[in-house]
Amino acid sequence: MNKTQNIISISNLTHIYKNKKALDDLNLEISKNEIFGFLGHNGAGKTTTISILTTLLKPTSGNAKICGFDVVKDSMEVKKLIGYLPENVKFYDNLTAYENLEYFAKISGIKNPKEKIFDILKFIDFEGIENKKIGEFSKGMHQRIGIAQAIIHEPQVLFLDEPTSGLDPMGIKKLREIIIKLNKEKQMTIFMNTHLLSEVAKVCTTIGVLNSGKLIYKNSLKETLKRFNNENSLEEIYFNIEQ
Amino acid sequence: MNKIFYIAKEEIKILFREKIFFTLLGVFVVMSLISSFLGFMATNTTTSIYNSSVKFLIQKGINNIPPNPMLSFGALTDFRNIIIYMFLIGALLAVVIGHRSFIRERKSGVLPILFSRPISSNTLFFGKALGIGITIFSIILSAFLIGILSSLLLPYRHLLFDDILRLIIFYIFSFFYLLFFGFVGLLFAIKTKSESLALFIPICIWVGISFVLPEIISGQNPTALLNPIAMGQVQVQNSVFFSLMQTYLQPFSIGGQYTSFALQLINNTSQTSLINVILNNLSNITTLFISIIGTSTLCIYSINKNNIGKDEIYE
Repeated sequence: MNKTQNIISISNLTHIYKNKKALDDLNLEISKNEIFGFLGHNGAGKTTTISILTTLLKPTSGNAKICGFDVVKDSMEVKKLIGYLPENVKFYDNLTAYENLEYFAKISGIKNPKEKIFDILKFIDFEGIENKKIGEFSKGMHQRIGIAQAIIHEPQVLFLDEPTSGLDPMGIKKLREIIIKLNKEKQMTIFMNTHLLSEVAKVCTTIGVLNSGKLIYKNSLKETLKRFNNENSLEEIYFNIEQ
Repeated sequence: MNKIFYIAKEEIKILFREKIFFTLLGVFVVMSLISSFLGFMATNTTTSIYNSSVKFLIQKGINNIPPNPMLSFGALTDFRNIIIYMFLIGALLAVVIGHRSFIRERKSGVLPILFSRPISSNTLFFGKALGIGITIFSIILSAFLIGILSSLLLPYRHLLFDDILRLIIFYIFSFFYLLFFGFVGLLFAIKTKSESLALFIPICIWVGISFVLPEIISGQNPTALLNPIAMGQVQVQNSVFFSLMQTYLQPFSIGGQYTSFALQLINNTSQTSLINVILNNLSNITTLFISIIGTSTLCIYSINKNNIGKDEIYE
């Protein structure tokens, strides 16, 4: 697969919750090795999109493919290719960090995950917490274990839903470093839902803006900054796009 | 197949770290011990009175002495109380085990991660079912061992091979009876988003199966139904209503069928051979298995239908 090949393809994706149209004919393509920042206000449809892409939700109409596999028809294949960090990730509080990771590794098909777990914890600079119970973890620690569970099976695409939500500045900085490291060293394509423009500016290579279930803008961060060079900040650009 | 074992192993590991499980298990084990003790005390008291009476009659010169009434019940009669504990506390414990099995995932918030992993709904269900099954089996085994140990420690009990076989069949049947309730707990934990409702509905079903249906069908009063000695011996109310209820509701009365089979296994050891007891209860055994298969199918269907994003995520 070359660098320009689309790893995520979404065509005419629509999702309706009862009477509310959460996604309205969404079309989106994301290339391999991108860090895609999916921007939008609360209720714009970002989590619905990520839920469909991670096979948790069946769309009302349209289709989405990950590495050529349809998220509805080939959901098992898709699940092998993706890692997912939900917003407010939680684990089994009664189990230790190691036991939680071991469980998710095993159900992902890794038979002897011990070495892998220690490698991943080293990779995210989170060693020495293996035997601590998750119930004792802070929000930031939860997020890092969340990242560890999401990448333990070395997925090609990593979905992050508001990964920095509720983190302190140090936690945000650490998570940002991990995301960039994953993209650079493990060549993971990253799809990140966020409403924090500062995050997008520091991490993403491409941005998309969703408004009321419709994609209203998509371009590389570089092009975006060039196009809106009269604006002082990404925030102003965002408001400009939204209007 | 391996994934089923991983899920089951995790299930047991987490359950064995929960206080609620140990509380209910403790109650059940204590009840099993009390059951053995009460059975022994009843036999002991009756035999002591019988021995005193025999002594008195011999002193009076009466030689035509009737046999000890306890002998006609057989050695398993001391186990009769366990039927009720299994029927009530065991079933309730199984509901809680099944309920915790899935509600834990929902409450802890791991469902989105779990469902984004390459595991099918069948794998998830069979993993959970195996976990529930092993847990219930360990409870049943502990009750069985307590019974056997107490029979070795307490006098008057001389279990024969046939008695032990009956006891094993009783515990195997009890295992499946409890498994059914475990699956009922699991089913509503999958189907219902509210934790309290997910426990309330199976408890209503438990009440219905344990009390309401057997009462309507048999026409016996509730206290008679809870008495393992009086069960089957109390005069039933004879009316068109009860007759109709018996005809149409009998197949659904899993609780009534369980106690009936269990009583025949344990109470009447000298009257009916084991093979005849099993043959007479084939329809009861079949009903229980159909119920288990039906509940399992509903669980798999519900996991499949559980459009997890719809329930857990809304943005």
